Amino acid sequence: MQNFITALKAEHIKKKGTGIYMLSIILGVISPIIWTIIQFFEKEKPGSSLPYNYYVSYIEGLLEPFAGFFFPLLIIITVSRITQLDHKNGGWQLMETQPVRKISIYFSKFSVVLISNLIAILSLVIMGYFGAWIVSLIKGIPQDATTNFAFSELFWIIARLFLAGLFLTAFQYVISVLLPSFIWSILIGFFLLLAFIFLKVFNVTPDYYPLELLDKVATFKKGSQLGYWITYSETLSVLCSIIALYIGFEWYKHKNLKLAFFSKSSRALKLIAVLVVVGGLLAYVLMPNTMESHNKTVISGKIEGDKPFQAIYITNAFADDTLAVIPVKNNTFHYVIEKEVPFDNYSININNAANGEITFGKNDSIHLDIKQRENNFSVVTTGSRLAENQYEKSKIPNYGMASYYIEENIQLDNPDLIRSEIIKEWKEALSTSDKYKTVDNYVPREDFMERNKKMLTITFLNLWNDFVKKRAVMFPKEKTEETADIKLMKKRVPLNDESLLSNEEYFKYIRSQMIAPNKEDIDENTKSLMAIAKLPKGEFKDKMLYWQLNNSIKDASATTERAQLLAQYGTDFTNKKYLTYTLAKNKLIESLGKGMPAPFFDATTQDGKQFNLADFKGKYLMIDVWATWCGPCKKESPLFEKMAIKYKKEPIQFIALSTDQKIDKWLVEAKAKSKSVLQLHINNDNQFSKAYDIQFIPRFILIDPQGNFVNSKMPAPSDKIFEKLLREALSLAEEK
Amino acid sequence: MQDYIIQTKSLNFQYSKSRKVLEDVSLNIPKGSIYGFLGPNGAGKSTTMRLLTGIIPEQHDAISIFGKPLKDQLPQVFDNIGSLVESPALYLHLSGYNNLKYIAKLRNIPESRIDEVLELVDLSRDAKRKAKQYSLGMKQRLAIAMALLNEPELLLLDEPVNGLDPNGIQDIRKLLVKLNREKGVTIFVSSHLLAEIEKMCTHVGIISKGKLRFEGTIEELGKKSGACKIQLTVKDATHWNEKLMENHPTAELQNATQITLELQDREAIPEFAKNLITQGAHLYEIKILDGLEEWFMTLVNQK
Repeated sequence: MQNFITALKAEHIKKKGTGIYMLSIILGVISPIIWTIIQFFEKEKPGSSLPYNYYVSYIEGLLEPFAGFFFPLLIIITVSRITQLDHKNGGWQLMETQPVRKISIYFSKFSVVLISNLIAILSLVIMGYFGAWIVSLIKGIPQDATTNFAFSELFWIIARLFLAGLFLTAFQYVISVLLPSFIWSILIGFFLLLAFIFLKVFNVTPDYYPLELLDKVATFKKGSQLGYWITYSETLSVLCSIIALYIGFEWYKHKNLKLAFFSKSSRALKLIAVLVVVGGLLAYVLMPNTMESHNKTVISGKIEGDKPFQAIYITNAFADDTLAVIPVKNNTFHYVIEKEVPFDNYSININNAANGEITFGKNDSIHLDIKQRENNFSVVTTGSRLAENQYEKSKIPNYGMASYYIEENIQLDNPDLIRSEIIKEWKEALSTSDKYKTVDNYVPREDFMERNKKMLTITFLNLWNDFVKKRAVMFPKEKTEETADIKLMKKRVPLNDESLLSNEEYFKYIRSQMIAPNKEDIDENTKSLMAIAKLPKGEFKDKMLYWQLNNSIKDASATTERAQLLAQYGTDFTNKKYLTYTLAKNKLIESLGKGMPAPFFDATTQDGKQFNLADFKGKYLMIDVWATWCGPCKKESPLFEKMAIKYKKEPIQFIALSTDQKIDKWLVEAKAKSKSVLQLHINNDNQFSKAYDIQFIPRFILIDPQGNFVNSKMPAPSDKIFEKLLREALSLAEEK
Repeated sequence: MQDYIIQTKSLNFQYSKSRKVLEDVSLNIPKGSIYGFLGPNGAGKSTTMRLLTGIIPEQHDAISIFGKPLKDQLPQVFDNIGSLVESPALYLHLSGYNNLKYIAKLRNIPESRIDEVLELVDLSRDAKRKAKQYSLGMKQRLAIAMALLNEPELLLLDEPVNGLDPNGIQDIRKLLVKLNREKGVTIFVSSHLLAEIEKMCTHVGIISKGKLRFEGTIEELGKKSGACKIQLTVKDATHWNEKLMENHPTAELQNATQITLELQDREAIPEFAKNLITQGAHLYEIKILDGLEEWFMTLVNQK
């Protein structure tokens, strides 16, 4: 050890004037500096999210450029330079004729690179902190941010970067020591960087790829979800570097591979021992894990926020069926669901609003970590369906070329192209889903994977059906052939899987399959209802009918049409709960129809004056339902104000009705608004939202002087129709 | 029995099966000697040097240093050895002083010693300059200073005067002789220049094509070479050549002013010169032509 420290100190004399540590600092601070400059040009994002640490999140923003480029670049350069110092000057021989052990020589130089890595990481964090501070001086600290010194978060960011960088460092070091020419190590280093881009594109990056290890730190900024200090990729990095360094050192020590490992049986045995032990650990770490199921169905967890919580509702997203009402005590909950739970996606409802989704089924033990602030919820799901829930969250909608072609009517005359594109994308989607794993190397269980592959296939089949339909319209004479691959896709999807019917895509697919033979000249909704009526009674038919009837009601233009639909098909339900839900839905739609009386609501002005719907009788009423946290609302509101000013003289009152939970926030923003719009805050948001079927905002509602709806779902003011409808209602001539 | 500081017993080395670089080389370097290791380029000198320093691993345990097998003593043995292998290994981006400081750190030698060796190799004035600005001679001297830093018992020097001008060669020769005399340092020095070795060594080993051709003291070497060949520069050489032929049948006219001939030994030169001058010759120069050189060449060319 003394020997090593001596060698390390000597190494520091040797590297004098080379600026190796200086370069670490430069490459460390470069991303924070660029990032800080960009911050001055960035527009402020709408605030109000969950509380977060301002400095930590600023530094997390730097991880991508640093771990993805500057850090690997530094490692490649530094390793090359530190080894070239000795290659160039005959230093290796010089060192070997000193009373210094080879192991000290080898690892003292390696340590210099590690110190350089650490300096770069620390520079990044310190400069990031400083940059964040400067930005905060000018732009202020965002409202939701905390600014305490988060030691443990920062420590683990530093540690994870350091560990993740180990393998690249070791790999480059081994090469650079063995190959005297600097060209090779640099070339190999840059090749690794470039190859990574291609590996990523084709989604075939091995977990132990040196740059993938670093990339994981940038992707999973918060580290392990299961509370481990480091994630499995950092463990991989450490194990891989042990193997690399062992082979590299023995090779260096004995000057050639044969001498190092095959000249004596003891050396060969040692190599085998290292490979077996470390390689075994490596294989163990690399092996994907799955969570075991439980003997009961349990939902537990904790919920934190700025208001009291009584209960959490787990509902079936499909039919608003409540599966469980979970009481919350002291912000924690633990609940055993005795009912049979089909494996499916469910929504989590808190305070009368859906605030998240979970995927689980019978005998799963799910742990929810819920955080709330105003209208924002974050739900972190762990437990026996960790990977499944995370997969669902990470799913990116398919924006492939095929859907683009079909949507934009491009290349429709080229069925081969579109067909092969669909098949290619389908296969890619399947393989991507196969490769999915969480930051802790957990993969979804087989039942989920099967189901998910069916769902993916359905998406592409729907795309295919859309395409066939379009072709049939545009080229009625040409056939769009189904190839073996399409048939294979169809084979994967059963036509009677009731458990998949909670998903609308599956409904769409079944529907399209059922109505395809029907060539009558009637609309699809009718065709579908006719086909469903012929199905045998049971859960499958009920669900199909529920989907279809709800769609038909929504699309129906008049009360009589809706009544007729319900009368004709409502009796077909075996399970009467679906009829009840359908009737409720119908009632809501009816109540919001033209000429129906607008439900009562009351609201408060900035100075505390009370208003209710009745106060505006005799005048048209145009309502903009919004909230301060809603980005799109803020886009629309200036246009809304413009309308208010333009139609000031008409008998119409413009109202901006805020549904904010935090009134003080609304007060601040409402002050800055135009006086021609009456600023109100709703008194009972829940009641209002239910009665008016507010599913998202902004929402624009027009009510006539008698208090009846003119239009309960107006287009937004940014849409030209808005003004047209407004003028129509006010009986003003069309503008030329 | 004589105390040998380095001994090799039938040292063999081969890079590949077909090509033997060293064959049966048994060296005996006595303590306190300056041992010249002589051979043409490619004879195996550097390989021997690298084997002796452990830079390339031995294939059989044939080398012992300080009476013990070398490979058991690596790398501590270098506490007592200073070495200079091939081209001077220096860090060109560092100053001369820092190069020495680096070695001092590695060897745990107090920094005060640095000034002493700088003085010794006459680099004190240039200590702060970067090594890349040094002339070849200065670099070589710095490398020697680095080898001397730990006051070694044994110095291993591979071609230390390679590429130096005559002045530089002389300086280094003086330095080595001084070290040997005053501090009793054993010096193992390799060279392809016979004249160099002859001037300072007490012992010589000659290697050629991987085999040791001769080993012995410088006196033994002298005897091997036999008669002493000299070259005269005289006015009217043709005349004198004829005259000299009478007593010296080996006399040979080289050109209008120069004659070569063989004498019994060096001791015969003063008498011979006196005679010649009394006979009235205008003698400009008498130069010893190396008989060794020729002997060396034949030795080296042996199969």
